[in-house]
Amino acid sequence: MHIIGEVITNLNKNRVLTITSIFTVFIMLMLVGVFGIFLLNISYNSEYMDNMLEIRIFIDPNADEYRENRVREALLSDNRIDYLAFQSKEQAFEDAKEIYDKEVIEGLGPDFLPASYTVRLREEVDADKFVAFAEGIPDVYQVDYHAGSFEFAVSLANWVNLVSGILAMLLGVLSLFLISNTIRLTMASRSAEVIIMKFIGATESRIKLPFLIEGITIGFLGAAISSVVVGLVYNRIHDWFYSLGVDEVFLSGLSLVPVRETVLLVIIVFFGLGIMLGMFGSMMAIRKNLKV
Amino acid sequence: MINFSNVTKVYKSGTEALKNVDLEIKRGEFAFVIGPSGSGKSTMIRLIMKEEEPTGGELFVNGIDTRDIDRYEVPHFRRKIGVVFQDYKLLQNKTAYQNIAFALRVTNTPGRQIRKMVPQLLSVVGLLDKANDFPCEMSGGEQQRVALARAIAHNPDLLIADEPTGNLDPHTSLGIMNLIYKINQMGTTVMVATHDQTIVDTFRQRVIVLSEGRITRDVPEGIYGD
Ligand SMILES: Nc1ncnc2c1ncn2[C@@H]1O[C@H](COP(=O)(O)OP(=O)(O)OP(=O)(O)O)[C@@H](O)[C@H]1O
Ligand SMILES: [Mg+2]
Repeated sequence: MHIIGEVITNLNKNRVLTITSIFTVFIMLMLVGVFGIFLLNISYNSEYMDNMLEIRIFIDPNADEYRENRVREALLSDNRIDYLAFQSKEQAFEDAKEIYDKEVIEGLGPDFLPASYTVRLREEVDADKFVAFAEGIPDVYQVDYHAGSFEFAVSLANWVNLVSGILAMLLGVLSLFLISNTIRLTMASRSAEVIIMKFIGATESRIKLPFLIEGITIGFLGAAISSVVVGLVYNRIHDWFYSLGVDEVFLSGLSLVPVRETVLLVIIVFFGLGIMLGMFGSMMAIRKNLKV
Repeated sequence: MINFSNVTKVYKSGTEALKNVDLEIKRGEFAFVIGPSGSGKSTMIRLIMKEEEPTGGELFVNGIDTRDIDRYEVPHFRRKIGVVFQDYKLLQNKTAYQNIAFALRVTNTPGRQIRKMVPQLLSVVGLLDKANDFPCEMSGGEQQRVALARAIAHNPDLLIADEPTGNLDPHTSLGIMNLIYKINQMGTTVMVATHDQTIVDTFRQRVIVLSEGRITRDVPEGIYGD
């Protein structure tokens, strides 16, 4: 109890540096949070990402059975294809009724949507060449391939990962030094106390304890503030995302990690990192400046 | 109680502060250590407290070879030695009561015991009525009494005073020395390093004279000069 009082008094004495330290921990954790949550959501949507590698080949809705079969044969005889699935007009119609406004779809009638093939290529195959080939098959009127956005997503993820990783690391080092400096100052302001504690026989750990707790408090506060901010912001994004209509085609099929899971993970990671930073910062200061 | 055996102390700077010192202070004794500035009095005290290590010879305190005390045992070893300094070393932001309580608290004394002990200690040094005064509100003599109360809080076997009256007027000095003498009469071994001739001559106790790191005189019931 008394130690808590000591800690509060000391941190209050060096308010500016204490707040700066807390703020640096906060910024660092925010970065960790942003890129962590981004990566978390990417892996959460890995199936969706995977589906981006699929090629959809749509057959002219006016084609008769004979012409549809021609397309089928062209694809079946192609050994670049690893996997092939057919979706008839009727299936497309049923699926559409589930996703979009039922009445609108029914009004359009079952002939409105084209039959299609979903193709997955063998790995070594050049997808662009295949797409060009598929577009050339008679009665194929559209070929969809989203690998471009897939590659974009992957490279964006890698960049975010790299940049925020480096920044977070730099900020981590910075906060370590700031915490250590804060503790060094509180040590200086309490040097008389430390001297007295030594000659009256206080143990090493009792002398060091308040300084260690001071560092941990800084890390703890940084973690608390950033947890709240990240939690609130993510909750906002989550709400916004799911308030978007399904007609935002790009988003259909994408989903976000639930808020509760995310916040729980954020709290564990933030408090773990914050407390560790605080502890190491204090330990640095203690090692350098406190000869017991 | 204290046993220096051929102790030498050379500081890292190269200063030879103590040279082949042989000295025994028995349990319950009262000893003055005198000598000019720089003669090694404080060094002697630092060695006894295990703040510094002898660079030669052996030093036993309370029957223990100070070399054998590892760093985790040092605090417990120090609790059995009370010290006071010329500058009192009180915490300015704590009252007399809190200064003494602080010493007990940081050595894990239970709160209930602290509340019982502090008033007792304050009454031993005659400062019960100043319990809630801060150091800046007290005279030098009163501050030194608080320091003495703190020094004996752990009921030490040994009380060491490094120029305890250095900042005090003759009358107040006498009061402090009477208190230290009283503590000695209760059974605590006492060692006082001092420059104060009047006090040494008044109390007529053992006098150990240091000069340039050597003991040049050691007489029972001695006086300051030859
Ligand atoms: N930490 C230290 N490092 C190097 N030299 C020191 C140190 N402490 C003391 N000395 C030197 O050792 C010698 C003895 O010093 P010490 O403090 O023991 O003297 P003293 O008898 O207590 O003097 P005073 O009466 O002025 O307090 C002096 O020459 C001093 O300069
Ligand atoms: Mg001295």
